[in-house]
Amino acid sequence: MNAFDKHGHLTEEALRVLTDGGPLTELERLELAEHLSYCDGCLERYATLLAETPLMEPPPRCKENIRRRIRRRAAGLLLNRCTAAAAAVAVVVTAVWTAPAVSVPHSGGERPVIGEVLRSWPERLDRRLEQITGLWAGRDNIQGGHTS
Amino acid sequence: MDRRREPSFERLVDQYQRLVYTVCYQMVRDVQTAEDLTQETFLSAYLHLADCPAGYERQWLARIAVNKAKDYLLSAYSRRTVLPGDEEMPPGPPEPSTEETALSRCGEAELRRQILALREPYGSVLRLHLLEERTPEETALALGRPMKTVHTQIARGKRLLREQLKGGADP
Repeated sequence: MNAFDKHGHLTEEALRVLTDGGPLTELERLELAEHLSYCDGCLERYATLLAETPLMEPPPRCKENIRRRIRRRAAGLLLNRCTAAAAAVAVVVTAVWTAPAVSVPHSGGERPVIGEVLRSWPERLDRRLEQITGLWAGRDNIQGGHTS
Repeated sequence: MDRRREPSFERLVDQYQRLVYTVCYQMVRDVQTAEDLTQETFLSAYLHLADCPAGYERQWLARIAVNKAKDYLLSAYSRRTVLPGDEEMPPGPPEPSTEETALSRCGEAELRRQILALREPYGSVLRLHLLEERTPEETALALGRPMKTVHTQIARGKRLLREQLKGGADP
């Protein structure tokens, strides 16, 4: 089978064999995928052919796994951001704490302002996760987030 | 990014998961891998949702799916084929290039004939790169292919050429 024509585009035959599940070696499938990954014309032809083909049904758990993976990734990204913010706060706190010229008023060793910020982080984390879930469900009213 | 205007991602999954799964399966031909690649496709789509051109969700998702399948097939192919090839090569530098080895074995005319006979998508790449001595960048530009793809095709094309020449030179 000639998978590519003389201009380097996919032949009709190649696209048919791909969508019909005909014989293709792994290397041939890799070559088709490499071409479809950048060629708009051939991707459009492939998409048109797919529209005429009965599509396969993924296992029912697939959608739930997608949701779980998105949530996990989003939480990871959020945690990274919080860790970076925490590191920045730690630097500032250390600087203020150790600077001899700055006198921090304190009673009994408590720094209520910073302590409050640190305590409220888990709540803010929860709120962001709620927003992520909201986006998944297409909820219009996302509160407290950066929506502009 | 205005998240309030985004359509529900869940709806996007509902509408296109069969398409994405079918594309992945047609490429890798294994249900378990196809399912995994389907999930990866939607995860990428979610993270880059702002890049999706309005009204082209179908093509956009099909392309991400094709890319995921391509990466999977490429790593599977490299694991199997590149390592044995490397073992055949003599250890230590410097290593003569494919074209030098080929030239010394069969002469320029034969090499030229073999390059011209090389199948697509490698023939056009190696004609420009080896016969017209264009750089990979120039070759990519001339053919309208991404640089990364051209680099892969040059490497794989040379390997095919070497096999072709070996076959011809050692009857």
